[in-house]
Amino acid sequence: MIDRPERFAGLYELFRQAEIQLKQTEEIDRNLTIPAVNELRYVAFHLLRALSEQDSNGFDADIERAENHAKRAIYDATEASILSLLEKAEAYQADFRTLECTTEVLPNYVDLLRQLEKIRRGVSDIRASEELYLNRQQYYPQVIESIADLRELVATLEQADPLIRVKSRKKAIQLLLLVISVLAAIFGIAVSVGLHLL
Amino acid sequence: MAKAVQDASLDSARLEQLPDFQAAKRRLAPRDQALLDGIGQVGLMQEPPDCASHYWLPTLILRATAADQRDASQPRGDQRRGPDDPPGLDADAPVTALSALPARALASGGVTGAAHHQCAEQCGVGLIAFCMVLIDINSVNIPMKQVKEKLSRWRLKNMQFLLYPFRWPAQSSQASARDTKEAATRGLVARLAKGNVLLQAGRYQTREHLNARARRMNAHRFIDQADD
Repeated sequence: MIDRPERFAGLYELFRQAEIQLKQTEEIDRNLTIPAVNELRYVAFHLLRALSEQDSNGFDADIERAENHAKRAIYDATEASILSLLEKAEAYQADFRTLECTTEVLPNYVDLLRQLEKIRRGVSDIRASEELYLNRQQYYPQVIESIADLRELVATLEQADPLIRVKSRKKAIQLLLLVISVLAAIFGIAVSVGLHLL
Repeated sequence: MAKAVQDASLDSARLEQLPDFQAAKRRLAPRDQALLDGIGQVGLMQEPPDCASHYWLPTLILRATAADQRDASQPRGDQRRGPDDPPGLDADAPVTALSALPARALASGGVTGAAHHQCAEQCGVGLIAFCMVLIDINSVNIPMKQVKEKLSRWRLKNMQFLLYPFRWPAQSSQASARDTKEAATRGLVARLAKGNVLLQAGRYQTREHLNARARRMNAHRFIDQADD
């Protein structure tokens, strides 16, 4: 067995991060992300192979593979969280599209959409090319960065939702009353004209 | 697939609960009987000796003196419904001795014709119509896709926003409604499965699920950023 504690420390750190992301994904998506768990299984496999390796080169290669799998696990778990949050944001967007008070409550709504689109593109671009996706371990720091922003954006939409609804309801009632008043006025005029003619 | 697994686990869990459901039905039977006790002319079919009734669908038995009331909730002669019409919703059915049944017995016993007749008399057809209009306003969303198609046919494309002020906003957003529904389903599955992990299926995302979600999200645009 080759004794290289610094390599194990690096791998341990990545594994810990992967575990944190997986737990976070379970909380956000309420599902266990099997691809990420699968990657962690490969981490264990390569780690055990590295431990049984006598050759230094073989040891390094296996540790590197284990690290790459851990990074992919982080990426897969984080991607699942991002997708879940984007789906939530999409649902809010679909709702807000028909509510006229959205920009009154959220004056920076367009900016929010722009940021959402930027994050969405970040994930989609990696998926767009097979080569990029196979090397997705390189992009795990980017997705970890964007998840904090995304959580904040979705929280903003969540908080604004009831306020927008209350405002829109009030407006709808005002409009309904206006229509009823106009109709009543027309009816009243018609009746008075009719009575006058009689 | 996940939905099918979830359904299967629900059904499987329900089957496990079948004896409890039957016991609950059995406990309800005396209460139903108690509701009918004061009437005298009607009763529920009793469990025959040496048999175990499941009490799934209680049968109402009319005494000989009220036998002619059997079709009280059915339409008469020329008012008879077609084969496709739902039973027991005839507003013109005669008000009979059966209308003396308590409201709950009426609601569950298939004599709804009489109940509707009374209700219509008490509330007034006009009031019901008014309520229907209100319900309609609250519950019906304008099918925007169809409206869009119509407007584009009239060369008024992109003018559908004019209709938005007339939409009645729903109480909660799609996202929170979905969350509530999902939480309720999961709670039900967890409760029925009683900690059986195998029955709590559908709580994981496979690579295929993830790919499908990513593809769907790939097609979505939050905002058109062509100018960027």
